[in-house]
Amino acid sequence: MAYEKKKKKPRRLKFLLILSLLAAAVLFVLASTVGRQDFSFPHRLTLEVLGVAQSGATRAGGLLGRVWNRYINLVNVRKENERLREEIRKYKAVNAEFREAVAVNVRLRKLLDLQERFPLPTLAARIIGRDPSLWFKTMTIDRGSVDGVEKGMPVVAFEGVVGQVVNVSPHFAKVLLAIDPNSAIDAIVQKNRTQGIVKGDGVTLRLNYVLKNSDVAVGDAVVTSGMGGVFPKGLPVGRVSAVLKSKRGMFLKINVTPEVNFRDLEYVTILLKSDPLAE
Amino acid sequence: MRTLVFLILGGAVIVLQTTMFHALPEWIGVPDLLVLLIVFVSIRFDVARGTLISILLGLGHEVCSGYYLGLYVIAYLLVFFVVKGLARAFAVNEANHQPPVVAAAYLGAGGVVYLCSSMLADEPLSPWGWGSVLQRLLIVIILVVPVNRLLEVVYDFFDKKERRFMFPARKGNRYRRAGR
Repeated sequence: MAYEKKKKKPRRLKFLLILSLLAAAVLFVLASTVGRQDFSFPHRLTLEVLGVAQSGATRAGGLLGRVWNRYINLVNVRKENERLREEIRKYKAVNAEFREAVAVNVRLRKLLDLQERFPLPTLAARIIGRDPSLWFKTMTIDRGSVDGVEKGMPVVAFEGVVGQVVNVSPHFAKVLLAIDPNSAIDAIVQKNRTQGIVKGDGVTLRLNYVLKNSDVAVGDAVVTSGMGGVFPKGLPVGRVSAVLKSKRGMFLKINVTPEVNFRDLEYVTILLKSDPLAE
Repeated sequence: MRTLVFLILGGAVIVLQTTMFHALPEWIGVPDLLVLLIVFVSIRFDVARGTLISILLGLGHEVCSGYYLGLYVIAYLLVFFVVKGLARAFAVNEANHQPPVVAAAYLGAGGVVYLCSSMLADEPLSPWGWGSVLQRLLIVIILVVPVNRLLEVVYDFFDKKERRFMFPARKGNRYRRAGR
């Protein structure tokens, strides 16, 4: 009898321990899900640990990739070389045209005093991890709150809008890409200032809430309107790839191909806004 | 010891999935090895250790993936307890039972995350996309047997070490010594 009691006691203790562990976990998860979606201490700590590993793995992957490109693919080097020379010739010509266009643009901007962009401080960051899931599009960068990065700051690349910072730990941050379904950017069609909201669908972008009588055509450039309070005005978002007019509803269905190739992106720039509005 | 080893292993899997696996051809996608690990943990670890591993790996996954926090922890805990329950009634640790269990776990975890995200999001998520889901599922099923074998080797190795540490073998013949 006494032996059985002795045996039961540690079991009950163990059961209570597991129960309290589970309750704590469920409470923590509920607080994370229902709360403000900010990183809590365990999240920050986990990202700090994983971030270091991701950074190392990305470097190692890059090194392996370079070795592969340099030594394994030597077979096609001659053909590649000829093709690249041809491309360089072509791009030099295009570059000359672009230089001329930029010079004209700069002159006109000065002339009309249309300098609308605010001189924001920027910060370059390396992409160290990408979202492995099918339904979310986020990535991890190697800059965090120590570098001045805050939740809601816009992230851009040379080609255009990339997304915005959603979670931050001291040395790393998570960026929600513009193509994620949870992303929404206030944008305009550049040629006629038609306004809409650019939303992601996981692969590409959609320009929503554009009235059916608006003049939008395939190939039109879509840029940020600056009205959302997150992105500065005039940043390239993408180009209209399809305009569909359904019988019902008052809005057009507009597909936009992003300017940025999210798959090949390696570095991004964070615009360090002092008062990010996005929550 | 085993718990720590499997946590490190899980961390390594998350790092691989978020970095190097993206360099794989698009038709392979990003193999979800973490689900394989969670299923293995559900079968081989006790409730306390398994819960801890599932929570921490869920936490690790959600800092690198998704928008809503807490969903991967819920999904992995759910997978852990369902598989644990199944393991008590059926021989799910047998090799021929592994692919269906892992497939159910993969679909279950993905389904929970997708469903909860859809409910929390203001606007509809990207479509579920059976094509891509089944493609990734197939790759996970192909990987079940070799990955499971590898995990078993790691588990047994550290299990033996742990036992040796807890019950060290005495040198010589202790009965003979006692007789003297």
